Amino acid sequence: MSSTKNTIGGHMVGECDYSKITPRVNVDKNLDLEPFVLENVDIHVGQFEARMDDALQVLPPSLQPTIPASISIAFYRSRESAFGPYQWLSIGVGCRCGVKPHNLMLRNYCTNTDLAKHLSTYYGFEFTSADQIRVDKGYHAVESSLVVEGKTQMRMKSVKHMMLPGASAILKYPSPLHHVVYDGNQGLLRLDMGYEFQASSRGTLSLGDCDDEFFPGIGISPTHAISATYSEKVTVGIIQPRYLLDVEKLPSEGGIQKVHEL
Amino acid sequence: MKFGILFELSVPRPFQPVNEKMVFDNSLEQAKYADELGFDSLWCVEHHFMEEYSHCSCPDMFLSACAVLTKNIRLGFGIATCVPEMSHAARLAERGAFLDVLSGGRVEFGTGRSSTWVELGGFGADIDSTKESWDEYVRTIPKMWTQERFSHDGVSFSMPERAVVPSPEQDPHPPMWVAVTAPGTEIDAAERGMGCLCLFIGNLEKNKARFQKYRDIIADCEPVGATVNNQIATMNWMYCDRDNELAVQRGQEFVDTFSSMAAQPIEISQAFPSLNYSAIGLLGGLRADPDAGSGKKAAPEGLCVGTPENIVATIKEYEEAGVDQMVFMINARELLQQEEVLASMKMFAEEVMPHFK
Repeated sequence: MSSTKNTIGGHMVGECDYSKITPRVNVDKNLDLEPFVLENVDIHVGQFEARMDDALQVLPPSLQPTIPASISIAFYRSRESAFGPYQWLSIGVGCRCGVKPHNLMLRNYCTNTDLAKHLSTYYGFEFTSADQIRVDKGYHAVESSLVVEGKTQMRMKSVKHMMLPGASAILKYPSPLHHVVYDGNQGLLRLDMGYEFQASSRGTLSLGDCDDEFFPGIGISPTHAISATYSEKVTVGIIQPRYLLDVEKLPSEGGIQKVHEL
Repeated sequence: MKFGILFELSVPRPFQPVNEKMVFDNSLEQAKYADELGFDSLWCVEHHFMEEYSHCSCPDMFLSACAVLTKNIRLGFGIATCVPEMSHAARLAERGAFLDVLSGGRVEFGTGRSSTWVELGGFGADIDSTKESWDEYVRTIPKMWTQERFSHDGVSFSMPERAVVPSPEQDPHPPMWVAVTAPGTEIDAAERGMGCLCLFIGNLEKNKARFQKYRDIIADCEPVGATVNNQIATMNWMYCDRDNELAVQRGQEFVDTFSSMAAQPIEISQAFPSLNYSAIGLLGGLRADPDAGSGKKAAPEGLCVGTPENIVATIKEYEEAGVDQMVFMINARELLQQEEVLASMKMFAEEVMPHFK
C-alpha cells in the first residue's frame, strides 16, 4: 500500500466576519485595577447544546467551537454589594482558546446600572437593560427568568438537585470573552473569573417558555439541555484583564497579546 | 521494556472519503510494519462523535483487520468502554474473545469509562454511574470468558443464563487493563489485579510514587479475572530521526496538533459536574495553557522524540521509574507523511529497541 498525498484542511473555527462588527464597549485600561470581588453571590447556570452551524455563525475565526456546540446561560444574584443589590444575566457560546473553557459573550443584562457601568468600563461587559431578572430557589426547583420591556424573554428551570461536595474542585464555569476596543485595539478581551464555592448542586435542566425572537435575535438557540448548577454565597473575583485575543488569528498562531503582567 | 503503537485514527478535515480511507490505509500499513519490525503490541482507542480527534468508533473492526495482516504483534483494546448505554457487557466479552480466536490468542483487553460529554451525553449515559458500571463489567467479563454458562443479576446489567461464545483462545483469558488518568485509578487497577494503561506523559518523579503504590497493592490483590496482569504501560509520542532539531520540532508539532484537537470536545467536568469525574482528564491536560500567553502548549517533559540516543536515554528513565511498556502515538491528523512515519518506526526498531531486549 502506498501513501496518498495529504489533503489536510484546518480545524473547525468560527465563520463570523468580525471585521464588519464594531465593538460598542471601549474598555478603560486601568493598570492599577485591584481584583474586583463580589461576595455572597447566588449563581444559576444552565449548560445547553446548540447547533454547530449556529455556533460557527456567531464565533470569529480566531475561536474554535466546542464539540458539541454549546451555550451557557448564567444568572447571578446578590442582595448586597458595593453597588447595592443586583441581578445579572450572561449568555455565551462555548468556545476554546486554551485549557480552560471559555464563553464568547453574546448578551448580558443587569438590573444595577452602577455595577453594569463598572463591569463594562473595566471588563468589557456590554449590557442591555432589563426590567427584571429573577432567580427563585424553591425546595423543588430553581427557576430563573428575564423580563425586558414588560415581556418575559426567557425562563430556565432546574429540578432534582443533588449536592456537589468539594465543588471548587469539580465545578468549572467558563470564563468570558468580550468583543471590545481595549487600549485602542479591537479584540476579544479574555477575563479571568475565579469562584469560591460554599454550597453547590447539580440539577436536571429545562428551558421554559421563551419569546419567539429571543434566541434567534442572539443568533444561536439551545437545542438540548445538558445540566444546571446552582451555587449559593459564592465569592466571585475578576482580576485585571491580561490577554487580548485577535478576531482573525487563532491564539496558537500568534493571535494573542498580553496586555497586562500580574 | 516493551513497545507498542496507539491508533486514534484522527482524520483531518475535510471529511471526504479520500481522507478517511487514507487514514485507515496508512494506519493498517503502520500496523503491519510494526509487526514486521518487532513491536510488541498495537492498541486502538474507542471514541464516538469525536470529529477530527478520533474516528475510531469501531475498534474491534480495525483490530480484526490488523489481526489478519499481522502474525505476532499483540492487539489491544485501548479501551473497551464499559458503559451500558454504549455496549452491553456481554458484547464486550464477545468482541474480546472473537478477536482472540481470530488472532490466535493475541488480545490485550483494556477497559475504561470515557470522560467526555460528547460521547457519554451522545449515548444518554448515566454519568454518575460509570465507575460502578466499569467495576461491574470488569468483574463479570472474565466470568463470561471462563464459565460455560453465565447469568448475572446486577445493577448496570442483568442477564439470564447464557453461553457467551466464543471463548477466548488465551488460557484462561486475555490480560486485562484499565485506563489510568485520574489519581487513584491506579489503585483501582492494583486492587483488581489489572494492568495500568497510563494516559499521561511526563512527571516521572511524581508518578514513580504512584507506580510503586500500584506494585505494592497488586502484590496482594483480589483479582477480578483468573490471572493477575501486573504491568504498567504509559502513552507517549515517538518521532525518531538523526536530526535532533527536526525531531524536537516534529514533537512540538505533535503536541500542537493534539492540543488544538483536544481543545474542542467538551469534557464531563466542564458540562456535567459529577463526583465521578473530578480530574481534568486526558484531553484537558493536553490543551494549551492560556497563562503561557502564546496559546501554545509546551511540549511535556519525557517525550520520545529525537535521535535514537536521546530516545534511549528518555526510555531508560521510564524503565527506571517502573514502566513495563511504552505505547506510542506516531502520527496525528496525518501531520506526517506516511514515508516519514515508517522511517521513524524503522529507525526506532533498529537503533532503540535493541537497547531494551
